[in-house]
Amino acid sequence: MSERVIVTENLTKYYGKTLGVSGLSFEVHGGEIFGYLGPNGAGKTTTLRLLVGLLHPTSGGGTVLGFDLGRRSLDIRERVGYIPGDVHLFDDLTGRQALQLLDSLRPSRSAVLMRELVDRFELDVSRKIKEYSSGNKQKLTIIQAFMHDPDLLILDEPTSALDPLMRHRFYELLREFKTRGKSTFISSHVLPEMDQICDWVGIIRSGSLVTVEDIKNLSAKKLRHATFTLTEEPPPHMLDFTSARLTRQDGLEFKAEIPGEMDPFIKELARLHVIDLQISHASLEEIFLEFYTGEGGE
Amino acid sequence: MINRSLLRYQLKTKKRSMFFFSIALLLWGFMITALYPTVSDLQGFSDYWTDFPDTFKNLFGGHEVNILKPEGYITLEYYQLFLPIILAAFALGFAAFCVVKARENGTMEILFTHPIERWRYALTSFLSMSAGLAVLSVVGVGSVMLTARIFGIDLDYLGQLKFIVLIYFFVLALGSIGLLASCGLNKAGQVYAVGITLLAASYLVNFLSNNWSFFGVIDHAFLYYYYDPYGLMTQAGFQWFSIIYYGVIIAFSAFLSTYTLQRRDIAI
Repeated sequence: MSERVIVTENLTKYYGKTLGVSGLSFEVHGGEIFGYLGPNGAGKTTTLRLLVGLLHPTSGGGTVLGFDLGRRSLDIRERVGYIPGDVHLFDDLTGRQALQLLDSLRPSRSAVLMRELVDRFELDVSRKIKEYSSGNKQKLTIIQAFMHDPDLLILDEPTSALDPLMRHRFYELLREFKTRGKSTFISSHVLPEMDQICDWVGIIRSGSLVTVEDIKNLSAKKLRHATFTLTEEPPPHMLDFTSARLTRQDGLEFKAEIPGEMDPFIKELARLHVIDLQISHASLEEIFLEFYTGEGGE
Repeated sequence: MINRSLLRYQLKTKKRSMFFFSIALLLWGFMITALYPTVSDLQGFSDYWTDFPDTFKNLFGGHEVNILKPEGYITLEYYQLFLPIILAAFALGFAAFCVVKARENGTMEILFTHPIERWRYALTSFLSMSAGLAVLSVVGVGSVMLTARIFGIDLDYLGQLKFIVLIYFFVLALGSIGLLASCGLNKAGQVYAVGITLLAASYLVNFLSNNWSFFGVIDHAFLYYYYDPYGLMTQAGFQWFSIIYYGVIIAFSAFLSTYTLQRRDIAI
C-alpha cells in the first residue's frame, strides 16, 4: 500500500447550526486520483476547504501529506495546489501579475512550470483579469495551482468553464502528474470525465459519505444493464424478475437494470428462450444517480 | 513580518482611490485656506462667531477657538470635522478592502490556500493602510501649508507639522478598529457602520461633554476627546498623551485583528 496523502477521521463541520459535513472518514493514497462526487450543497466544497485550512473543523480531524489539519496548515499549503470552486481573482492585475503575486507567497518553491503551463493553455497573461472570459479565468486558476509542481492537488470543479479542447489538455496534465506519483483530490459534476480519470471515488450526500470505492469495483458490483431478445412471448409471470428491473424495449426485446449480483439474474434469465444478450456496466453517472434515488441512498 | 508583494498589491489596487482622495483634499485645503485672507479682516465675521452660543461653538470645534487666527479658521472649516471624515472614509474603505471585501469577492480564498500566515496578512494589511493614511494626512495638511505660503498667510508651520502627526494617529486608530471589524464581520457595510457609528458617537459624546460635565467621564474613552487641533497648533509642546492613547488603540486593534483573522473561517 502506498503512503496515505489524505486521512480524515470523523471530520465534521457545522456553520452555526447548519451542517456542512459530518463524520467524514476516508483515505487517499499516493499516486491516486480521487474523485469526490455529490450534488450541489452536499458538502464537497466544505470538505475541500477543510483540507486546505480555509475552514476550521467543528470536530474530528485528519492529516494531509502527513501534516495535521489543525496545527500544520501552513506546511500543507506549502505542498498543495488548490483550485477553488468559484473563480475569483484579482481583477485589477494582469494574469502575469496575479501569478507573480501568488508565486511570491510561496518563496520555498519556485514556479517552475509557470511558463510551460501558460503556453500549454494558450493564456494571454499580459491582459488584465477583469478582461478575461470565465474560461480564461479558469485557466489562470489551473496554472496557479500547478505551477509550483505541488505534491498534492485539491481541485474543486476545475473544468466547469473550460471548452472541450482545454478540458482534454487539463486531464492530460492530470494524468502526467499521476504518472509522476502525485495525488489528486478532485470534485466534479462531469461524471463521464471522472469515470475516465479517477482511481477511487467518494460519493457524498447531505454532508455524509455514502460510499468510497475503487472505481472498477464500483462498476463491477453495482448497476449493470442487460439487453436481451427472446424467441417467443413468455407467460407474464416469467417476466417477474426479482434480480432486475425489466422494461420492454421493442417487441421481444427487453432491457434489464441489475442492481446487485449477476448470478440470480442469469438463473432467472435461463428460464427463457434467449437469442441475443448484451451486458454492460452502468456509467458512473448512473451509479451516482442510483446512490441518490435507489438503494445507495439514505 | 510582512509580505512585500502583498503590500505592493494592496497599495497598487488602492492607487486610484488614493489619487481621488488626494485631489479632494488638495482642492478643499486650497479653497478653504485661500478664502482666509478675504474673511480675516471682516469684523462682521468675527462678531458672527462671537454671537454664537457656546454650545453651538462646541459643535464646530470649541468655544475657545479664535476664528480670526488662521489656525482657528482652519480648525473650524477643515481640521475639526471635514478632514477626519474624509480620512476616516478612506481608512474604513481600505480596512474593508483588505479583509472583508477580499473574503466577499473570493480573492482571500485563493490567497489563503497559499502558504501565508494569516497574522502576516493582517499585519501587511495594517501597514498598507498606515502607508495610505500617511500619504493622505500629509496631502491634507500639506495643501493648507502650501496655500498659506502662496497667499502669505501667517500660519505656524511647526503647528501644522505637529497636527499631521495628530491627525495621522487619530485616523489610524479609527482605521485599526475598522480593520478589526473587517476581520471579524461578514459584510463591508457592517465595517462602514461600525466605523461611522464610532466616529459619530465619539463626536457627539465630545460635544455633550463640552457642554455638560456629566458626559466628561465617558468622553475620556472616545477618540475625539484626545483630538484638539486648535490647542495643538496654538500651544507650545505636544499632545503626547493623545498619541499614546491612539497608539494603544492602534496596537490593541492590530493585535486583535491578527487574532480574529487567525480564528475565523475564510470562506463559507
